[in-house]
Amino acid sequence: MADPYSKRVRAYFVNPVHAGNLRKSYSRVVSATADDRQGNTIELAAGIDDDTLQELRFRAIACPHLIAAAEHFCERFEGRTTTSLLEFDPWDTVRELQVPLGKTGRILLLEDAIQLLRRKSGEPEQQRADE
Amino acid sequence: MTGTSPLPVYLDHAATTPVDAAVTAAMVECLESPFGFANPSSSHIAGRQSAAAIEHARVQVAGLLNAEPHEIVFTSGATESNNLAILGAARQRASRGRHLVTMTTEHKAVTECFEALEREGFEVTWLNPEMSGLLDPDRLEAVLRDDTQLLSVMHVNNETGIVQDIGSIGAICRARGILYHCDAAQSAGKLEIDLKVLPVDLMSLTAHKFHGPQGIGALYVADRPGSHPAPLIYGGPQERRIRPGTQAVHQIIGFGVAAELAAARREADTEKFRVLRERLWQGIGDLPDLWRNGAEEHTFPGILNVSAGGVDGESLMLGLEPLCVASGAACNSQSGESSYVLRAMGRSDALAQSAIRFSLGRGTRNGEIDRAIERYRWAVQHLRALAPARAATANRA
Repeated sequence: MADPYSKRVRAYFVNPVHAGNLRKSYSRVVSATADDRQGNTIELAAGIDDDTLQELRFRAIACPHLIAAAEHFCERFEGRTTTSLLEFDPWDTVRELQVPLGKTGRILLLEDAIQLLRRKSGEPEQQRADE
Repeated sequence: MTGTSPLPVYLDHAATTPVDAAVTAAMVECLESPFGFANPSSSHIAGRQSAAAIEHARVQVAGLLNAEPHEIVFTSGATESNNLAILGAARQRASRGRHLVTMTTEHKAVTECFEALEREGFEVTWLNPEMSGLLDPDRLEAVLRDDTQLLSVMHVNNETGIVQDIGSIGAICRARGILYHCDAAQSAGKLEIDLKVLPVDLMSLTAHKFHGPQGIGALYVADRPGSHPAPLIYGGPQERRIRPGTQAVHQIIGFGVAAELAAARREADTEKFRVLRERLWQGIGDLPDLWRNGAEEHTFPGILNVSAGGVDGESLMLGLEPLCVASGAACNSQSGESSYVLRAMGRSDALAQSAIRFSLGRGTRNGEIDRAIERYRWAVQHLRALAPARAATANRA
Protein backbone atom coordinates (compact mmCIF):
# COMPACT_ATOMS: atom_id res chain seq x y z
CA MET A 1 0.00 0.00 0.00
CA ALA A 2 1.45 3.37 -1.02
CA ASP A 3 2.03 5.99 1.65
CA PRO A 4 -1.07 8.23 1.51
CA TYR A 5 0.84 11.18 2.98
CA SER A 6 3.32 13.22 0.96
CA LYS A 7 6.46 14.64 2.61
CA ARG A 8 4.86 18.08 2.74
CA VAL A 9 1.72 16.72 4.40
CA ARG A 10 3.85 14.95 6.98
CA ALA A 11 5.95 18.05 7.62
CA TYR A 12 2.92 20.34 8.04
CA PHE A 13 1.18 17.76 10.20
CA VAL A 14 4.06 17.47 12.63
CA ASN A 15 4.86 21.16 12.80
CA PRO A 16 1.85 23.33 11.97
CA VAL A 17 3.28 26.70 12.93
CA HIS A 18 0.00 28.50 12.20
CA ALA A 19 -2.08 26.35 14.55
CA GLY A 20 -3.55 28.10 17.56
CA ASN A 21 -4.79 31.57 18.40
CA LEU A 22 -3.88 34.98 17.01
CA ARG A 23 -0.89 36.28 18.89
CA LYS A 24 -1.32 40.05 18.46
CA SER A 25 -4.21 42.54 18.34
CA TYR A 26 -5.47 43.96 15.10
CA SER A 27 -7.92 46.58 13.96
CA ARG A 28 -10.15 43.77 12.68
CA VAL A 29 -10.36 40.11 13.61
CA VAL A 30 -12.59 37.72 11.67
CA SER A 31 -13.09 34.00 12.08
CA ALA A 32 -14.88 31.27 10.17
CA THR A 33 -15.72 27.65 10.89
CA ALA A 34 -16.70 24.75 8.66
CA ASP A 35 -17.48 21.19 9.62
CA ASP A 36 -18.86 18.04 8.09
CA ARG A 37 -20.77 14.90 9.07
CA GLN A 38 -17.56 12.93 9.44
CA GLY A 39 -16.58 15.04 12.43
CA ASN A 40 -14.00 17.19 10.68
CA THR A 41 -13.95 20.76 11.95
CA ILE A 42 -11.81 23.62 10.74
CA GLU A 43 -11.71 27.07 12.30
CA LEU A 44 -9.84 29.95 10.67
CA ALA A 45 -8.96 33.28 12.25
CA ALA A 46 -7.54 36.34 10.54
CA GLY A 47 -5.99 39.46 12.07
CA ILE A 48 -6.50 42.29 9.57
CA ASP A 49 -4.90 45.72 9.37
CA ASP A 50 -5.40 47.94 6.33
CA ASP A 51 -7.06 45.14 4.33
CA THR A 52 -4.00 42.98 4.83
CA LEU A 53 -4.14 39.52 6.38
CA GLN A 54 -1.45 40.28 8.93
CA GLU A 55 -1.85 36.99 10.74
CA LEU A 56 -3.70 33.76 9.91
CA ARG A 57 -4.29 30.98 12.37
CA PHE A 58 -6.29 27.77 12.35
CA ARG A 59 -7.61 25.12 14.68
CA ALA A 60 -8.91 21.76 13.54
CA ILE A 61 -10.14 18.32 14.40
CA ALA A 62 -9.35 16.80 11.08
CA CYS A 63 -7.45 14.26 9.06
CA PRO A 64 -3.76 14.90 8.29
CA HIS A 65 -4.52 16.20 4.80
CA LEU A 66 -6.89 18.85 6.08
CA ILE A 67 -4.51 19.91 8.82
CA ALA A 68 -1.74 20.19 6.25
CA ALA A 69 -4.00 22.08 3.84
CA ALA A 70 -4.94 24.58 6.54
CA GLU A 71 -1.30 25.15 7.40
CA HIS A 72 -0.45 25.47 3.71
CA PHE A 73 -3.21 28.06 3.26
CA CYS A 74 -2.08 30.15 6.22
CA GLU A 75 1.52 30.03 5.03
CA ARG A 76 0.55 31.16 1.51
CA PHE A 77 -1.92 33.91 2.36
CA GLU A 78 -0.47 35.53 5.45
CA GLY A 79 0.71 39.04 4.54
CA ARG A 80 -1.51 39.28 1.48
CA THR A 81 -4.62 41.38 1.01
CA THR A 82 -8.08 40.18 1.92
CA THR A 83 -8.93 40.39 -1.77
CA SER A 84 -6.33 37.74 -2.48
CA LEU A 85 -8.52 35.17 -0.76
CA LEU A 86 -10.41 35.05 -4.03
CA GLU A 87 -7.37 33.39 -5.51
CA PHE A 88 -7.61 30.35 -3.28
CA ASP A 89 -8.12 27.30 -5.47
CA PRO A 90 -8.55 24.00 -3.59
CA TRP A 91 -7.11 22.10 -6.55
CA ASP A 92 -3.80 23.94 -6.16
CA THR A 93 -3.67 22.55 -2.63
CA VAL A 94 -4.63 19.08 -3.80
CA ARG A 95 -1.82 19.15 -6.35
CA GLU A 96 0.83 20.69 -4.17
CA LEU A 97 0.20 18.45 -1.19
CA GLN A 98 -0.49 15.38 -3.38
CA VAL A 99 -3.82 14.76 -1.69
CA PRO A 100 -5.31 11.42 -2.79
CA LEU A 101 -8.45 11.70 -4.90
CA GLY A 102 -10.59 10.13 -2.17
CA LYS A 103 -9.59 12.92 0.19
CA THR A 104 -10.30 15.93 -1.99
CA GLY A 105 -13.69 16.39 -0.31
CA ARG A 106 -11.86 17.28 2.89
CA ILE A 107 -10.02 20.09 1.15
CA LEU A 108 -13.37 21.51 0.01
CA LEU A 109 -14.18 21.91 3.68
CA LEU A 110 -11.23 24.28 3.91
CA GLU A 111 -12.59 26.12 0.88
CA ASP A 112 -15.92 26.56 2.72
CA ALA A 113 -14.13 28.07 5.69
CA ILE A 114 -12.09 30.39 3.46
CA GLN A 115 -15.18 31.58 1.59
CA LEU A 116 -16.83 32.39 4.88
CA LEU A 117 -13.70 34.17 6.06
CA ARG A 118 -13.72 36.20 2.84
CA ARG A 119 -17.36 37.17 3.27
CA LYS A 120 -16.80 38.19 6.86
CA SER A 121 -13.75 40.21 5.92
CA GLY A 122 -16.01 42.35 3.79
CA GLU A 123 -15.13 41.25 0.31
CA PRO A 124 -18.06 40.91 -2.06
CA GLU A 125 -18.80 37.56 -3.67
CA GLN A 126 -17.32 37.47 -7.15
CA GLN A 127 -17.66 35.02 -9.94
CA ARG A 128 -14.40 33.49 -11.04
CA ALA A 129 -13.55 34.32 -14.63
CA ASP A 130 -13.68 30.66 -15.58
CA GLU A 131 -17.07 29.98 -13.97
CA MET B 1 9.16 11.62 12.65
CA THR B 2 12.65 12.23 11.39
CA GLY B 3 14.29 11.98 8.01
CA THR B 4 15.15 8.35 8.54
CA SER B 5 12.40 5.82 9.05
CA PRO B 6 12.44 4.61 12.64
CA LEU B 7 11.95 0.92 13.31
CA PRO B 8 8.28 -0.03 13.63
CA VAL B 9 6.98 -0.97 17.04
CA TYR B 10 4.61 -3.83 16.30
CA LEU B 11 1.60 -3.85 18.62
CA ASP B 12 -0.92 -5.33 16.21
CA HIS B 13 -0.81 -9.00 17.17
CA ALA B 14 -4.60 -9.29 17.01
CA ALA B 15 -4.22 -8.74 13.26
CA THR B 16 -1.44 -11.27 12.84
CA THR B 17 1.62 -12.54 14.67
CA PRO B 18 5.17 -13.26 13.54
CA VAL B 19 5.77 -16.91 12.71
CA ASP B 20 7.67 -18.69 15.47
CA ALA B 21 11.13 -19.91 14.44
CA ALA B 22 10.23 -23.47 15.38
CA VAL B 23 7.18 -23.27 13.11
CA THR B 24 9.26 -21.95 10.22
CA ALA B 25 11.81 -24.72 10.76
CA ALA B 26 9.15 -27.43 10.65
CA MET B 27 7.60 -25.99 7.49
CA VAL B 28 10.95 -25.62 5.75
CA GLU B 29 11.86 -29.17 6.73
CA CYS B 30 8.69 -30.39 5.04
CA LEU B 31 9.25 -28.30 1.92
CA GLU B 32 12.88 -29.34 1.60
CA SER B 33 12.42 -33.04 2.34
CA PRO B 34 12.68 -35.20 -0.78
CA PHE B 35 9.01 -36.21 -0.77
CA GLY B 36 7.47 -33.52 1.45
CA PHE B 37 5.52 -32.36 -1.57
CA ALA B 38 3.63 -35.64 -1.89
CA ASN B 39 -0.14 -35.53 -2.07
CA PRO B 40 -1.50 -36.88 1.21
CA SER B 41 -4.39 -38.50 -0.68
CA SER B 42 -2.03 -40.68 -2.71
CA SER B 43 -1.79 -44.27 -1.57
CA HIS B 44 1.94 -44.69 -2.23
CA ILE B 45 4.54 -44.50 0.49
CA ALA B 46 5.36 -40.81 -0.07
CA GLY B 47 1.68 -39.90 0.05
CA ARG B 48 1.24 -41.91 3.21
CA GLN B 49 4.09 -39.98 4.83
CA SER B 50 2.36 -36.69 4.02
CA ALA B 51 -0.90 -38.05 5.37
CA ALA B 52 0.83 -39.13 8.57
CA ALA B 53 2.30 -35.65 8.98
CA ILE B 54 -1.17 -34.16 8.63
CA GLU B 55 -2.63 -36.54 11.17
CA HIS B 56 0.14 -35.68 13.62
CA ALA B 57 -0.70 -31.98 13.20
CA ARG B 58 -4.37 -32.76 13.65
CA VAL B 59 -3.54 -34.31 17.03
CA GLN B 60 -1.54 -31.20 17.97
CA VAL B 61 -4.37 -28.82 16.99
CA ALA B 62 -6.98 -30.98 18.72
CA GLY B 63 -4.80 -30.93 21.82
CA LEU B 64 -4.96 -27.15 21.93
CA LEU B 65 -8.75 -27.38 22.33
CA ASN B 66 -8.96 -30.70 24.20
CA ALA B 67 -10.92 -32.04 21.25
CA GLU B 68 -10.66 -35.32 19.39
CA PRO B 69 -8.45 -35.25 16.29
CA HIS B 70 -11.28 -36.36 14.03
CA GLU B 71 -13.23 -33.28 15.13
CA ILE B 72 -10.67 -30.99 13.44
CA VAL B 73 -11.30 -29.96 9.82
CA PHE B 74 -8.46 -28.03 8.21
CA THR B 75 -9.42 -24.93 6.25
CA SER B 76 -7.59 -21.90 4.85
CA GLY B 77 -8.23 -19.81 7.97
CA ALA B 78 -10.87 -18.44 10.28
CA THR B 79 -12.79 -16.63 7.55
CA GLU B 80 -13.32 -19.86 5.66
CA SER B 81 -14.09 -21.71 8.90
CA ASN B 82 -16.74 -19.13 9.78
CA ASN B 83 -18.26 -19.36 6.32
CA LEU B 84 -18.26 -23.14 6.42
CA ALA B 85 -19.77 -23.26 9.90
CA ILE B 86 -22.47 -20.64 9.40
CA LEU B 87 -23.50 -21.14 5.79
CA GLY B 88 -23.01 -24.89 6.04
CA ALA B 89 -24.92 -25.37 9.27
CA ALA B 90 -27.78 -23.06 8.31
CA ARG B 91 -28.27 -24.79 4.95
CA GLN B 92 -27.88 -28.26 6.47
CA ARG B 93 -30.62 -27.55 9.00
CA ALA B 94 -32.86 -25.41 6.81
CA SER B 95 -35.56 -28.05 6.69
CA ARG B 96 -35.88 -27.86 10.49
CA GLY B 97 -36.10 -24.08 10.69
CA ARG B 98 -34.75 -20.88 9.20
CA HIS B 99 -34.22 -18.65 12.23
CA LEU B 100 -30.63 -17.75 13.15
CA VAL B 101 -29.11 -15.55 15.85
CA THR B 102 -25.86 -13.62 16.10
CA MET B 103 -24.45 -10.38 17.50
CA THR B 104 -23.84 -7.05 15.81
CA THR B 105 -20.29 -7.00 17.22
CA GLU B 106 -19.09 -10.13 15.43
CA HIS B 107 -16.25 -10.03 12.91
CA LYS B 108 -17.23 -9.28 9.30
CA ALA B 109 -16.37 -12.89 8.46
CA VAL B 110 -19.42 -13.79 10.55
CA THR B 111 -21.80 -10.88 9.98
CA GLU B 112 -21.46 -11.04 6.20
CA CYS B 113 -22.32 -14.77 6.28
CA PHE B 114 -25.54 -13.95 8.07
CA GLU B 115 -26.29 -11.14 5.65
CA ALA B 116 -25.84 -13.63 2.81
CA LEU B 117 -28.23 -16.04 4.54
CA GLU B 118 -30.80 -13.25 4.93
CA ARG B 119 -30.66 -12.83 1.16
CA GLU B 120 -31.31 -16.57 0.89
CA GLY B 121 -34.49 -16.17 2.93
CA PHE B 122 -33.26 -16.99 6.42
CA GLU B 123 -34.41 -14.80 9.28
CA VAL B 124 -31.61 -13.44 11.44
CA THR B 125 -31.94 -11.84 14.86
CA TRP B 126 -29.07 -9.44 15.52
CA LEU B 127 -28.30 -8.95 19.20
CA ASN B 128 -26.57 -5.84 20.51
CA PRO B 129 -24.22 -6.17 23.44
CA GLU B 130 -24.61 -4.46 26.76
CA MET B 131 -22.58 -1.27 27.24
CA SER B 132 -19.90 -3.60 28.64
CA GLY B 133 -19.70 -5.36 25.29
CA LEU B 134 -21.02 -8.57 26.85
CA LEU B 135 -24.05 -10.50 25.70
CA ASP B 136 -26.85 -10.60 28.25
CA PRO B 137 -27.91 -14.29 28.50
CA ASP B 138 -31.48 -13.24 29.32
CA ARG B 139 -31.71 -11.27 26.09
CA LEU B 140 -30.37 -14.25 24.22
CA GLU B 141 -32.94 -16.58 25.75
CA ALA B 142 -35.69 -14.12 24.94
CA VAL B 143 -35.03 -14.21 21.19
CA LEU B 144 -34.62 -17.97 20.80
CA ARG B 145 -37.55 -19.72 19.14
CA ASP B 146 -38.65 -23.23 18.30
CA ASP B 147 -37.34 -22.79 14.76
CA THR B 148 -33.97 -21.31 15.80
CA GLN B 149 -31.23 -23.49 14.36
CA LEU B 150 -27.95 -21.69 14.87
CA LEU B 151 -26.31 -19.13 17.14
CA SER B 152 -22.92 -17.61 16.41
CA VAL B 153 -21.19 -15.60 19.14
CA MET B 154 -17.44 -15.08 19.18
CA HIS B 155 -15.18 -15.86 22.13
CA VAL B 156 -12.83 -12.84 22.19
CA ASN B 157 -13.77 -9.72 20.26
CA ASN B 158 -11.09 -8.78 17.75
CA GLU B 159 -11.37 -5.03 18.41
CA THR B 160 -11.95 -4.76 22.14
CA GLY B 161 -10.70 -8.08 23.49
CA ILE B 162 -13.99 -8.56 25.35
CA VAL B 163 -14.38 -12.20 26.38
CA GLN B 164 -17.86 -13.66 26.11
CA ASP B 165 -19.00 -16.36 28.54
CA ILE B 166 -19.18 -19.06 25.89
CA GLY B 167 -19.89 -21.74 28.48
CA SER B 168 -23.16 -20.11 29.53
CA ILE B 169 -24.06 -19.16 25.96
CA GLY B 170 -23.43 -22.69 24.74
CA ALA B 171 -25.44 -24.20 27.59
CA ILE B 172 -28.48 -22.12 26.62
CA CYS B 173 -28.21 -23.39 23.05
CA ARG B 174 -27.61 -27.00 23.97
CA ALA B 175 -30.65 -27.06 26.25
CA ARG B 176 -32.76 -26.09 23.23
CA GLY B 177 -31.06 -28.21 20.60
CA ILE B 178 -29.63 -25.16 18.82
CA LEU B 179 -26.20 -25.40 17.21
CA TYR B 180 -23.65 -23.06 18.74
CA HIS B 181 -20.82 -21.75 16.57
CA CYS B 182 -18.02 -19.78 18.17
CA ASP B 183 -15.43 -17.74 16.28
CA ALA B 184 -12.33 -18.33 18.40
CA ALA B 185 -9.84 -16.68 16.04
CA GLN B 186 -8.68 -14.34 18.81
CA SER B 187 -8.78 -16.80 21.70
CA ALA B 188 -7.49 -20.12 20.39
CA GLY B 189 -3.90 -20.51 21.47
CA LYS B 190 -4.29 -17.67 23.96
CA LEU B 191 -7.03 -18.67 26.40
CA GLU B 192 -7.70 -22.13 27.75
CA ILE B 193 -10.39 -23.83 25.69
CA ASP B 194 -11.64 -27.24 26.79
CA LEU B 195 -14.15 -28.56 24.31
CA LYS B 196 -14.77 -31.62 26.44
CA VAL B 197 -16.41 -29.21 28.86
CA LEU B 198 -17.61 -26.27 26.77
CA PRO B 199 -20.94 -26.87 25.00
CA VAL B 200 -19.72 -25.65 21.61
CA ASP B 201 -20.65 -27.44 18.39
CA LEU B 202 -18.56 -25.53 15.87
CA MET B 203 -15.45 -23.45 16.54
CA SER B 204 -13.30 -21.47 14.11
CA LEU B 205 -9.61 -20.90 14.58
CA THR B 206 -6.61 -19.78 12.57
CA ALA B 207 -2.89 -20.40 12.92
CA HIS B 208 -1.54 -16.94 12.21
CA LYS B 209 -3.06 -15.42 15.34
CA PHE B 210 -0.73 -17.53 17.49
CA HIS B 211 2.58 -17.49 15.66
CA GLY B 212 1.64 -19.99 12.98
CA PRO B 213 1.59 -19.38 9.23
CA GLN B 214 -1.10 -17.43 7.39
CA GLY B 215 -3.43 -19.35 5.09
CA ILE B 216 -4.24 -22.26 7.38
CA GLY B 217 -6.97 -22.69 9.96
CA ALA B 218 -9.46 -25.18 11.23
CA LEU B 219 -13.07 -25.70 12.02
CA TYR B 220 -13.84 -27.82 15.04
CA VAL B 221 -16.93 -29.91 14.33
CA ALA B 222 -18.21 -31.65 17.46
CA ASP B 223 -18.75 -35.37 17.14
CA ARG B 224 -22.42 -35.00 17.94
CA PRO B 225 -25.45 -35.80 15.80
CA GLY B 226 -26.52 -32.79 13.73
CA SER B 227 -23.28 -30.83 14.11
CA HIS B 228 -21.98 -31.39 10.60
CA PRO B 229 -22.25 -28.42 8.27
CA ALA B 230 -23.00 -28.94 4.60
CA PRO B 231 -19.81 -28.44 2.56
CA LEU B 232 -19.39 -25.22 0.63
CA ILE B 233 -17.26 -26.86 -2.05
CA TYR B 234 -17.19 -30.32 -3.56
CA GLY B 235 -14.52 -32.45 -5.11
CA GLY B 236 -13.07 -35.16 -2.93
CA PRO B 237 -13.00 -37.11 0.31
CA GLN B 238 -10.48 -34.89 2.11
CA GLU B 239 -11.35 -33.54 5.56
CA ARG B 240 -14.31 -35.89 5.83
CA ARG B 241 -15.82 -34.35 2.68
CA ILE B 242 -16.66 -31.27 4.75
CA ARG B 243 -13.75 -29.40 3.14
CA PRO B 244 -12.50 -31.24 0.08
CA GLY B 245 -9.33 -30.38 -1.81
CA THR B 246 -5.67 -31.34 -1.51
CA GLN B 247 -4.40 -30.34 1.91
CA ALA B 248 -1.48 -27.90 2.21
CA VAL B 249 0.87 -30.23 4.07
CA HIS B 250 3.58 -27.75 5.08
CA GLN B 251 0.97 -25.23 6.25
CA ILE B 252 -0.76 -27.84 8.35
CA ILE B 253 2.56 -28.97 9.85
CA GLY B 254 3.29 -25.36 10.81
CA PHE B 255 -0.17 -25.02 12.31
CA GLY B 256 0.40 -28.13 14.42
CA VAL B 257 3.72 -26.90 15.78
CA ALA B 258 2.24 -23.46 16.53
CA ALA B 259 -0.63 -25.10 18.39
CA GLU B 260 1.71 -27.17 20.50
CA LEU B 261 3.86 -24.14 21.31
CA ALA B 262 0.81 -22.06 22.17
CA ALA B 263 -0.49 -24.70 24.55
CA ALA B 264 2.88 -24.89 26.28
CA ARG B 265 3.35 -21.12 26.56
CA ARG B 266 -0.23 -19.94 27.09
CA GLU B 267 -0.06 -19.31 30.82
CA ALA B 268 3.28 -17.53 30.65
CA ASP B 269 2.13 -15.45 27.68
CA THR B 270 -1.09 -14.46 29.41
CA GLU B 271 0.71 -13.35 32.54
CA LYS B 272 3.16 -11.35 30.46
CA PHE B 273 0.31 -9.68 28.55
CA ARG B 274 -1.35 -8.74 31.82
CA VAL B 275 1.80 -7.01 33.09
CA LEU B 276 2.52 -5.23 29.78
CA ARG B 277 -1.07 -4.06 29.32
CA GLU B 278 -1.11 -2.65 32.84
CA ARG B 279 2.16 -0.83 32.13
CA LEU B 280 0.63 0.63 28.98
CA TRP B 281 -2.58 1.70 30.67
CA GLN B 282 -0.70 3.19 33.63
CA GLY B 283 1.33 5.19 31.14
CA ILE B 284 -1.58 6.75 29.28
CA GLY B 285 -4.65 6.36 31.51
CA ASP B 286 -4.18 9.74 33.19
CA LEU B 287 -4.74 11.63 29.92
CA PRO B 288 -8.04 13.54 30.19
CA ASP B 289 -11.09 12.41 28.24
CA LEU B 290 -9.64 8.95 27.60
CA TRP B 291 -12.06 6.02 27.34
CA ARG B 292 -11.11 2.41 27.87
CA ASN B 293 -13.24 0.25 25.57
CA GLY B 294 -13.85 -2.92 27.52
CA ALA B 295 -13.40 -3.28 31.26
CA GLU B 296 -10.19 -4.91 32.46
CA GLU B 297 -12.02 -7.83 34.08
CA HIS B 298 -13.91 -8.66 30.87
CA THR B 299 -11.11 -8.38 28.33
CA PHE B 300 -8.35 -10.61 27.06
CA PRO B 301 -5.11 -9.22 28.55
CA GLY B 302 -3.37 -9.04 25.19
CA ILE B 303 -5.65 -6.25 23.95
CA LEU B 304 -6.11 -2.66 25.13
CA ASN B 305 -8.59 -0.51 23.19
CA VAL B 306 -8.80 3.18 24.03
CA SER B 307 -10.63 6.17 22.58
CA ALA B 308 -9.60 9.79 23.04
CA GLY B 309 -12.09 12.65 22.91
CA GLY B 310 -11.22 15.63 20.73
CA VAL B 311 -8.92 13.92 18.24
CA ASP B 312 -9.37 12.55 14.73
CA GLY B 313 -8.63 8.86 14.38
CA GLU B 314 -6.69 9.09 11.15
CA SER B 315 -4.53 11.89 12.45
CA LEU B 316 -3.99 9.93 15.63
CA MET B 317 -2.75 6.97 13.58
CA LEU B 318 -0.29 9.19 11.73
CA GLY B 319 0.82 10.80 14.97
CA LEU B 320 1.47 7.36 16.44
CA GLU B 321 3.96 6.32 13.77
CA PRO B 322 6.10 4.20 13.97
CA LEU B 323 3.68 2.28 16.17
CA CYS B 324 1.86 -0.46 14.29
CA VAL B 325 -1.59 -0.49 15.88
CA ALA B 326 -5.17 -0.75 14.64
CA SER B 327 -7.65 2.11 14.42
CA GLY B 328 -11.41 2.42 14.67
CA ALA B 329 -11.32 5.29 12.21
CA ALA B 330 -13.34 5.17 9.01
CA CYS B 331 -10.19 5.56 6.92
CA ASN B 332 -9.06 2.27 8.39
CA SER B 333 -12.12 0.37 7.26
CA GLN B 334 -13.15 -0.55 3.77
CA SER B 335 -16.76 0.27 4.62
CA GLY B 336 -15.86 3.90 5.24
CA GLU B 337 -17.51 3.78 8.66
CA SER B 338 -16.02 4.02 12.12
CA SER B 339 -15.88 0.92 14.30
CA TYR B 340 -19.32 -0.70 14.32
CA VAL B 341 -18.27 -2.73 17.35
CA LEU B 342 -17.69 0.36 19.48
CA ARG B 343 -20.82 2.07 18.22
CA ALA B 344 -22.83 -1.03 19.17
CA MET B 345 -21.38 -0.64 22.66
CA GLY B 346 -22.81 2.88 22.81
CA ARG B 347 -19.72 4.90 21.94
CA SER B 348 -20.29 8.04 19.90
CA ASP B 349 -19.10 8.08 16.31
CA ALA B 350 -16.34 10.51 17.28
CA LEU B 351 -15.05 8.23 20.02
CA ALA B 352 -15.31 5.17 17.79
CA GLN B 353 -13.25 7.06 15.18
CA SER B 354 -10.51 7.80 17.66
CA ALA B 355 -10.22 4.25 18.99
CA ILE B 356 -6.81 2.62 18.96
CA ARG B 357 -6.30 -1.07 19.56
CA PHE B 358 -2.96 -2.07 21.03
CA SER B 359 -2.49 -5.83 20.85
CA LEU B 360 0.47 -7.50 22.46
CA GLY B 361 2.48 -10.50 21.44
CA ARG B 362 4.81 -13.10 22.82
CA GLY B 363 7.82 -11.03 21.78
CA THR B 364 6.59 -7.63 23.03
CA ARG B 365 9.08 -5.96 25.36
CA ASN B 366 8.85 -3.32 28.08
CA GLY B 367 10.79 -0.88 25.93
CA GLU B 368 8.22 -1.15 23.16
CA ILE B 369 5.43 -0.42 25.61
CA ASP B 370 7.33 2.63 26.83
CA ARG B 371 7.73 3.88 23.25
CA ALA B 372 4.01 3.31 22.71
CA ILE B 373 3.23 5.36 25.81
CA GLU B 374 5.50 8.18 24.68
CA ARG B 375 4.05 8.25 21.13
CA TYR B 376 0.43 8.02 22.27
CA ARG B 377 0.82 10.85 24.77
CA TRP B 378 2.56 13.03 22.20
CA ALA B 379 -0.01 12.35 19.49
CA VAL B 380 -3.07 12.98 21.66
CA GLN B 381 -1.61 16.15 23.16
CA HIS B 382 -0.44 17.41 19.76
CA LEU B 383 -3.87 16.93 18.18
CA ARG B 384 -5.74 18.40 21.11
CA ALA B 385 -3.53 21.46 20.94
CA LEU B 386 -4.80 21.94 17.36
CA ALA B 387 -8.48 21.39 18.18
CA PRO B 388 -11.03 24.19 18.55
CA ALA B 389 -12.21 24.28 22.14
CA ARG B 390 -15.86 24.11 21.04
CA ALA B 391 -15.34 21.03 18.89
CA ALA B 392 -13.21 19.28 21.46
CA THR B 393 -16.04 19.51 23.95
CA ALA B 394 -18.68 18.42 21.45
CA ASN B 395 -16.64 15.37 20.56
CA ARG B 396 -17.14 13.79 23.94
CA ALA B 397 -19.59 10.90 24.32
